[in-house]
Formats: sequence, C-alpha cells, structure tokens
Amino acid sequence: MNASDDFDRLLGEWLKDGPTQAPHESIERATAHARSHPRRPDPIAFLRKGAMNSRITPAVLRPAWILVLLGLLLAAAVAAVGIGSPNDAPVVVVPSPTAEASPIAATSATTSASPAPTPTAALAIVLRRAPDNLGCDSIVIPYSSATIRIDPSAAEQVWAEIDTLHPDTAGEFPGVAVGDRLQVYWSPSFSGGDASDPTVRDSNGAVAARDGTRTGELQPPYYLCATSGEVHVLDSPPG
Amino acid sequence: MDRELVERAAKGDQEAYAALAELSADRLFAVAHRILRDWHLAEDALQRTLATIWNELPRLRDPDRFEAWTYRLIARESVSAARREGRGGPVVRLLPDDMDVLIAPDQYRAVADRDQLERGFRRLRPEQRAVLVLHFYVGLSLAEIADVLGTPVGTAGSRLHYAIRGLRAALEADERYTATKERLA
Repeated sequence: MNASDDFDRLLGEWLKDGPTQAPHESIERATAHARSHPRRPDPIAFLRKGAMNSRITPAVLRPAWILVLLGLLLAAAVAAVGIGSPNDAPVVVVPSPTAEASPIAATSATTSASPAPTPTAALAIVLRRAPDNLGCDSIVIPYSSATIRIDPSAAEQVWAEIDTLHPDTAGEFPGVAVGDRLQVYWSPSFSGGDASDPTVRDSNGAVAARDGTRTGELQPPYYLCATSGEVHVLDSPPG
Repeated sequence: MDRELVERAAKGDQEAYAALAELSADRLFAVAHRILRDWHLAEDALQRTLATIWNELPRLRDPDRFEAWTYRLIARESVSAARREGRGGPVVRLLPDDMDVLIAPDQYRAVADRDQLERGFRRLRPEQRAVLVLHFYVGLSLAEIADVLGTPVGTAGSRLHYAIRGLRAALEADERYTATKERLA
C-alpha cells in the first residue's frame, strides 16, 4: 500500500463519517409540493429534450430529418388540395376583418368568388388552469422575466417566453435560454378571449394580460408563482 | 430503483413520487451534507432537489437512469448552495482538555487528520468537493461521474485530479502551519 492509497482510504473513511438519514420534514414538504403542483398531461412531451439524454436524440427528431419530414408533409398537403379540387376552384383568400388588405390579398381577392367569414374569429382561447390550493415554494428558477404570448390560432394559445435570464441562477440550468417557452396556468376566475379579443381577463372583465404583457406587469391583484418550466398567474396570494 | 415507481411518478402518481422521495432522500441528503458540510444547507439542497424531481421527472426519458439523474440534481443544488454561501468559515472542533487521557494516540492522530481534512476540504471549490464526494463516498467511476455531471470523462478526470491535488496541498499547508506554530511555542 502506498501513500496515495493511504490518502484515498483516509479520505473515504472521513467522508463516511457524517449523517446518513435525511430529516423527515424534507420528505413531508416534498410530498406537499407534489400535492400542490399536480402534474398535467404534456401533449408534446415526446418532443422535449430528455433531462439526462441530451446527447441522444432520436434520428427522427434531428433537424435535418424534421425539415425533410415537413417538406414531405407539405408536398402531400399540396397534392391533397390538388386532388380535392377537381373543379379548379379559385383559391379563397380570407381577409382579416380588422386588418387592411395587403397587396397580396387584394390581388388574390380578385380570384375569390365569395369571401367567407373569417374562421378564426370564433376561436376561443382556452387557458390552462392552476389548481385552487396552489402553494408557491421558493425554488430556484433560471429566469427573471418572461413575456406572455397569445395566439388564438396556435395549438398552445397562451404561453410565455423567457426574455431575461437570471444572472445568479441561469448557470444552474444549462439547457435554458432566452426565448424558451413556459407553460402558463391561470386561476379559475380568469377567462380567455377569442381571435377578435386575444386577451385574458379577470373576473371583473379587466384585461389581465394580452400578447406582449411582461410578467413584471402582473402586479396585485394578480400574483405569480413560477417554476423552471411554468408560470402560474393567480387571483389571490399563493399559500 | 424501481423502474415502475419512476414511471408512475413521471405520470403524476403522487403516491409513487412520495415513495421515491422516501427511498432517495437519505442518500441525497448524505451527498449534500458531505459536499456542503452544513446540516441546514444540505436540508435546503435536498428540499430543492426533491421539488425538481417532481417538476422535471417527465423529462427523464430513461427511468433506469433515475438514480444517476438525482445525483446530478443534488450535486448541482449543493454546488449552487456552496457558491451562494461562499466557502464557509473555518471549522473549529474543540477537543476536551484531558483528550490525551481519554483516547489513545492513534485515535488522537485520527481526529487531527479528520480536522485537517475538514479544513482542507472546505478550501476546495464546490465542484471539486462534489467530484470527491461522488468518487470517494458514493463510489462512482470517472465515467459515471462524467455522466452525472454532464461533462466529458476527461473533464471529470482532471477535476478529480485537481481536487485531490488541492486537498493534499491544503493538508500539507496545514501541517507546515502546525509545525511552525509548535516550533515557535
């Protein structure tokens, strides 16, 4: 046995000397945290980068493949439209009722036989709901500010995007960057507008958020509770 | 770790998560305490880690890697906590006046070694402490440490090398200081 082995043994023994049992309150608080943050189904979970498998990306999800797949899908869609239009009907361009006609729309409109009412006008904004009894723990998050985005025509109609990383904590979340999306959850009293009124309103009908509202603007009577991937907008102070 | 338990917790089963927290808390706390050398800081790091496990578990693709993943989380939290707290003040362990009567010379030497190690260890950077704990306490290989910390194996190796060298240097400095003090006394 040489000096290096002795040192390693000494260090190993020294490290063994210490507590091996966690305080039980930690487990109780953790389960309380889980109860107050019930998991919601994530429809695009399969697209997210794995927490440990950042170097292993399924071939089908690599950028080049995605572009190829998108190209094929687009080609298929174009072909389907061609097949589904035996009468060579003119392409119908639906001008937005609020926007002025752009030059492109005006040109195309001449080929339109009968402009239909905009289909997006009826798109109601569906909000993700925060639980009633949400507790807000002090956990580290990688950002200090985010911007609420609202797009009634998008699959996820309301979300937030990180616009400022927190200088002290961002380093602990190596995968997080400005522009990353956060899911936004709202207390049950909030309601979403629709395509003609892309806002989120509180129970009094006041606009709580619109596209571009920054989280810093959500002051009382609204309250924020944030995690690394979610923002909860509440109508009363969290527990 | 029970793969089925991890999968159930990832899907939002709170009972499964509670069982996972119960099964993992002791080993995670032990690691945090050894990196941080402080009960309250370790408790806080454990708390944050358990919350992160619940929040981020759906992103863990391979449930078999749960244990390694949780080592990554606790190491990250502990290093962050150590950075926030600075490197901590000196540790003073008072020995009773009749120490030489109560314990044998070898044991006295062991206590002195442990105190030196404590002082030397606290002088290391938090990342170096984490590597030493993962290697000498948890027993992970260099490849496993690299996996846990998300670094190349070479980086983990050099971090371990410099951590050991730094600790040795700290111990030697401590020896020299003690010897000088004894000479002057």
